[in-house]
Formats: sequence, C-alpha cells, structure tokens
Amino acid sequence: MGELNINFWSIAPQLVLICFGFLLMLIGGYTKVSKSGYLGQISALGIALAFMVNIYLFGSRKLGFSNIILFDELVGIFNAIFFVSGFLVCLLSDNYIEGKIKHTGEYYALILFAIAGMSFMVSALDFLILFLGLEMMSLSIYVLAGLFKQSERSIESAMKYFLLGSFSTAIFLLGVAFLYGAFGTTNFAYMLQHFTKYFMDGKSLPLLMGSALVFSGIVFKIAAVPFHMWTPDVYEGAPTTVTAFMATAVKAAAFSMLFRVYLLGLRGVVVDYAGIIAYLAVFTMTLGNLSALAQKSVKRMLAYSSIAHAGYLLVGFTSLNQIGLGAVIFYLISYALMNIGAFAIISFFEKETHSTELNHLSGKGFKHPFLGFMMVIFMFSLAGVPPTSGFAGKFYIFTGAIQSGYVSLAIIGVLNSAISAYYYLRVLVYMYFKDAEEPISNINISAPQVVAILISAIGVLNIGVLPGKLFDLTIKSVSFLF
Amino acid sequence: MITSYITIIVGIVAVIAALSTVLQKNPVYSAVSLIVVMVALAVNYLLLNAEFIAVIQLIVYAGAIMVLFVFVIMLLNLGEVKKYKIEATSGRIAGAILTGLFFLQLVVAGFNVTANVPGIERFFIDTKGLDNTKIIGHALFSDYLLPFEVVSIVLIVGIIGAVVLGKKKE
Repeated sequence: MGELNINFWSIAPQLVLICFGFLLMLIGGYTKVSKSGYLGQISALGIALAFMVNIYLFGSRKLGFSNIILFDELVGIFNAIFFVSGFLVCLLSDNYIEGKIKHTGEYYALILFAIAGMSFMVSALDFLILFLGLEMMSLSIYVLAGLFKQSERSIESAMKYFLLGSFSTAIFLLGVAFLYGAFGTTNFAYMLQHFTKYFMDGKSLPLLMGSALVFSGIVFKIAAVPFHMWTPDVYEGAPTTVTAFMATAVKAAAFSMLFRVYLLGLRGVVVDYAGIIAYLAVFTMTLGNLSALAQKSVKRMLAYSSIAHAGYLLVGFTSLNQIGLGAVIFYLISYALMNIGAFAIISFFEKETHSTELNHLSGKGFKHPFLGFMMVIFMFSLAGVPPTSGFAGKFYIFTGAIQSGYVSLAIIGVLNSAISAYYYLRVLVYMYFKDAEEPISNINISAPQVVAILISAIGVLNIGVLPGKLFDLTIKSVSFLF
Repeated sequence: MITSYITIIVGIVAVIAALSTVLQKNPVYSAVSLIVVMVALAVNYLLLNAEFIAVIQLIVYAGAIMVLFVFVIMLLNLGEVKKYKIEATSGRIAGAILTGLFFLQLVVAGFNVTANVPGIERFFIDTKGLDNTKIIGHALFSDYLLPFEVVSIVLIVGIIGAVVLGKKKE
C-alpha cells in the first residue's frame, strides 16, 4: 500500500499484444474467410513488435502498478520464449487452418491474448495478477483447442482440458487463499519479508497447505506426473499448431510460475520441495518415455515426449543452483524451437493424409527431401544428439544436477534420453527406410511456413553449435537469486 | 457474541446447502440449493461488516442462478431423472479414502489460520469515515488498478470463446 506508481513501461510488451489482438478481431470481421491468409502475418508482426519492445527494455528493472508488476531480466528472457513460440505458431498456422477454422481473426487474437497472459504471469509480483494471467492464458487455450469444430477429437480435447484445467485452477486458488491466511498478503516481496521474520523457526500449517496446493496447480500446467493424465488426449485432439503452442509456450509459462512463486515469494519452502520435485522428475521422465515407446500416432508420441521433457526440466529445477536454473531456461528455449519444428512438419503431412499415424509417414523422407531433412534435425535434437540444441540443453541440465549432488538423478536422466532415442529415430526409420504405402501427392507449403521452419531449424543448429552465449545470458538472468 | 453464533449457524446452513447442490438428482433442486448457499455466504459477509460485497453477492449470484434456472428448465428434459449407479471398484474406494484424508487436512489447516497473521496491521485501513463502497472503489482504482483492467481482457477472452464455439456451423 504505497504510492501509486503506474509504470506503463513495465507492461509495454503485453500492451502491444493486446492492441494487436483487438486489431486482428476487427480485421477478421471485415475479411472474407477465403482471403484471411494474411492475418497470420499481421499477428506475427504484432508479436515481433512486442519482441522488439522486450529487447529495448531488456536489462532494466521496472516496478509498476503499486509493486505488483516487476520487469527484470528473468521476465525478459521468458517473454522472449513466449514471443518466439507464438511468432512461429502464427506463421505456421497460415495454410494449416485454412478451410477448417472459419474464425481466423479470433484464432490469432486468442493466440496473442494467451501470450499476453503468459507475460503477465511471469512479470507478476503478486498472486492476484499471476492468477489473472494464468486464467487469460488458460481460457484462450481451452478455446483454441476446440476450434476444429468438425472434429470430435478437437471438441473432446477442449472439453477435457477445460474441465480438468478449471479444477486445477480451483485448487491453485485455494492454495493462494491459504497463503493469504498465513502471510496476510499476496505480494511476493512482502511474503519473502514476512518469511524471514516469522517463519524461520517453524512453518505453520496453512503455509505448508497453501504452498502444496499452489504447487499442484503449477504441476498440472507443467503436465508432470501425477497430473499428466490429460496431456495425451488433449494434445492429440487439438489442432496441431495449437498443440505445438501448448507444448512449448504454455509449458514455459508454467515453469515461469515455478520460478516466480517458489524462488521469490515462497523461497523459504523451496528446499523442502526440491526433494519432492526430484521424485516427480524421475517418475515423469520414465513414464513419459516408456509410454511414448508404445504409440502409433506421431502426434500422441510427441505428447508423451513432452511429458518426458517436463521431467528433464524438473531435474534442472531440483538442482537449485545457478547452472541448473539457467539450464532450465536454456532448455525451454531449445525445446520450443525443436518441438514447434517437429509439430510443424507433422501438420504438413497431416494436411495431406488426414492422419498422424506413423505408417503414413513411410517413404516420405526421400519424396519430400526438404521436409525430411528438417525432420532429421528436429528428431536428432529431441533425442539429444550432439550438434543440436537438445544435446546442449541436456548437458547443462545434468551438469547442474551433478553439481548439486544429484548424481543418481542425472544417471536416470541420461538413461531416459537413451530410451527416447528409440522412438524419435523410429520416425526417421519410417520416413527413410520403409516403402511408401500410398501414392505420394504434393504438399502445399506457403512461404511463411518455410520461413518458420527455417528459423526453428537454424535456431536449433545455431544454439547447438554455439551454446555459450545464450547460456551465459540465461545464467545471468537467474543470478539475482544467488 | 451473538454474531459469532449466527456465523456458525449460517456456515452450517451453507455447507448443508452446498452438499445438497451436489447430491440432488433433480437439477432444479440443485439450482435452488445453490441459491441458499449464496444467500448464506451473503449473510456471513454482512456479519463481517462488508455490506457492499454482501449486496453484490446477492445481486450477481442470485441473478446468475435465476438465468441458470431458466436454462435448466429450457434445455434439460426434466421428465425423466436419470439414475446413475456407481459401482464401488477398488480404485474408487481408494480415491474416496484419499479424498477424505485430503479434505481432513484442508479442514485442519483451515482451523490453523489465525486472526493475528503477521503483518496484518498493514491492512487496517484508516477509513476516515468513508463507507464500504468508497473504500472498495479507492482500492480498485489505485492499488488494484492493473488487476481490475486485466479482468476485462479475461472476460473478453471468455466472450470470444462463447461466441466462436457456440456459433452454428455454416
């Protein structure tokens, strides 16, 4: 309760996104559905603008709106992840949603609102605005998942995600209520202050209950065991571009919550949670990888693989040192690039064959050399093969874990990534070493889609070959915690 | 003293009505029970000296439930009440036990929330003779300005979702 310091710079990227969101709905209303292809480029432009503002602000620290918003380097780098994933998804949607989604303007507007919500989440210094950002993101994603109205799977996916998601949000909110009861405030800065003042010799029951409930709310969004059950159905049913967005940006946003809440407001309990997170990480990795082995649909396989990747990321978080936490952010960046790339290529083949089954990919590698080659890059990166960013990310994460003494965790992680190599490389085996079952038709790829794929492929290789600079940046962004 | 008794009685009424909302087989009874919950909560707000919130609670929720009521009558086939038979599988029993334990934990933790929270003094606002509504207005447009504005975007997203998903196929 201090002076009123409205500081619009602290939320400038979000403002840009929201303005473009409204603009897109307006344009969408005046455009014929058949000619709405350029809306994707406009939304990409909006996101690029927000990215520019973000870079302009990067490096400064801005408090705003009675200390409920904090823009710092951590926010800047997480914003960059959201914006890059959103940018790529907007470019990729171009051809894919044509003819299937009538409400093109709303589709892109919802993506922008979702990104703005994520931005609010990561820059929140108060549970109130964190929760609003979370809702803004979740509601947009629920709707996006159900936008293929002709497809029953899409509706099922939206409905499942909506019901389970609102349940998890309710649990999250109950946790916030308990924390308010324990601290008398929802502001992270005050919570930290009160913690060192009152809870040093013993943690009260409401505090423990609240932090546990908030934690389960976050773990649901991360899609880690034991709150992972919704992931395969939701990811498989949703439009593939939306799935790519969910698997990358939403996961990154959930991790940003973990950073904000447990390393800032509830910093005093994070050590207690590290042990729990370590177990969660083991189960998440193992379950994700073993289930992915059995999948016949590539999309469902990638859904399980996203659970496994959440496990690797949790390993990085468990280590709670600068390398581990920096590695989590680094891995989120590289995961966003490689996963969006992989989903993009699946979406092209899906548009052609109306299926994401593995055996429909047979023989496609030689017939579509460009797409085949790109798929090789993304699959190698997901499996963690050296010259790619996936390898660098896993390397840093396991280094962090070993440095904190979690050697067994690192070993389990490495074993898991060895298992995962099997199902990632199986996709390539089908694409290159099996004969095609059906005559191969042409695939229409528009220029924006090619650009998006090239950006993600070059990003994957560039980060993989020269990881040092980006890693220094991510380490610097978490340095204020130590 | 008398107010604390009323609080407890109203609280019990709220819990019973909430249970009835969930357990009733007829959707109309459920909706009526929900109104009872809302009214009971409004009374509790009133006892906490939050008249404005009590009134808003009544107007908004009771109004919303009336709409729900109308929809129930219009959309659901009230003639036949479906009977669901839930079999007690081992998984369900385990789930029920775990849920019960979880609920017990919540209750115990809830009773441990004390009034003398550290730092609560910060929230004892000097009302300067202002009434309830004015204080809330001040808070909304000063300290909580941004959340207040962000809520509007959240609502917009909800509206878009309802329109886009609810629209008939062309």
